[in-house]
Amino acid sequence: MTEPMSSAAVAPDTMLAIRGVGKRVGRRWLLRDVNLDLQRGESLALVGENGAGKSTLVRMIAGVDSSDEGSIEVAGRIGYCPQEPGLLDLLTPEEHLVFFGRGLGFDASESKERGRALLGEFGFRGPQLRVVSRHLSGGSRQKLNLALALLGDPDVLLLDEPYTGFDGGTYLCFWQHVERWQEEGRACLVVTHFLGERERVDRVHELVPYLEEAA
Amino acid sequence: MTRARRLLVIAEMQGHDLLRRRGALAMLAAMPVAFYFALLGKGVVAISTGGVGMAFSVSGAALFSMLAARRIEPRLVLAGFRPLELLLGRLLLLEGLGVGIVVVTSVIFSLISRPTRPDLVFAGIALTVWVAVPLGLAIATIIARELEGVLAAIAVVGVQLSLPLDSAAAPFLPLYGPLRVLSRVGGAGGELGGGLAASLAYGVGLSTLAVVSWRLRLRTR
Repeated sequence: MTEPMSSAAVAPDTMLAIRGVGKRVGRRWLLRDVNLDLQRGESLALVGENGAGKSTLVRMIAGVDSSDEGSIEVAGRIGYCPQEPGLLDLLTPEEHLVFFGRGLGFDASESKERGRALLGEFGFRGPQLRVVSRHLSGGSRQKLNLALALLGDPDVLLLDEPYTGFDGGTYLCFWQHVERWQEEGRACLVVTHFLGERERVDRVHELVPYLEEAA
Repeated sequence: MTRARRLLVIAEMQGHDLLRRRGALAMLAAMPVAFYFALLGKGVVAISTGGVGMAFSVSGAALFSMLAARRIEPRLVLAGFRPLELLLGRLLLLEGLGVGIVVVTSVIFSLISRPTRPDLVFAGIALTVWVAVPLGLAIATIIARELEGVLAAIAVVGVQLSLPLDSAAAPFLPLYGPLRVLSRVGGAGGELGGGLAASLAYGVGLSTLAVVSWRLRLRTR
């Protein structure tokens, strides 16, 4: 279960503490005994081969999936950017911003203002704000996906391959933003496959598939 | 933001999504009328059949509105909405949309068939929507896959359509109440309380089932 940070056993700047987490699919363990800490202002790349359970672990940290053993503690607000943009196809980006913003407690105009600023940083063009999301390019949908994760000014960012579909310039811009988010004190966990990205983060954590059958 | 305003925001956004599906909306409105016209020569039986068409279209709309949002809803919960609010917001939208369809459909059926009890046409169609919306939501929360969900909805409504109302199995299916009310539009005698009570009970029961199933699915935090 994802819980607010409460344990005195973790360092004061720890934003994320994962202890002995496991996830089972049927009788098979997908993940077992995962331990991980993430500090304030730290960036971490979560790597591993296909099927290692990277996205599943991130979903469990975000609280949109449950773990079968262990504990996950998070300090502060989570911003979660899933691998596949979870958008409503027939809502515009502006409507998505208002929808999420209202959930976060902002009024409609503040939601739009914050969202436009975030999208603008990644080169999302203004006229696209009123185009239904199914008519947006893959990269633009992903920019919206990222902006929705950032809208609530999160303390812990969970980014599951968030640059899929980005052009080269936006991709570099994304990594510059990761540095900026770190400077602002946010903890950033980025799921990635690219070896070159390992140099852009403070630490790398490799997940390996758990092969033993569950008892 | 108050609970009521949060529900309205959810209903508004779901409404934008639904109202832009113009083709689906046209079919939603046309299906009960098509069922009705298919049996127009059979007198008031056509009205009951139109009611079954209404159940198909409304439960289908509820099912697909739920499934279309299944990827975004965990994120909306993370953003601060409660799972129950998301379900109630959708229920609000669909029942509200249903009121409009009930009025238009009841007027068409009553003007053409001239039943003895046009008030029961309105009541029966309204009860159909009352039951069909939570039926679609309950199926979507339990099954959560397009094909299987659609087949389940077709099975429930289709079996109900093929069963005579006086058969022993008919009361065990959710549209028994509305169809019993619609069967009286020609002025046939008999009490109406049973049909009304069955409709109310199935509406409440299916809504409860949808809420419980939905909360279990999003019970991760």
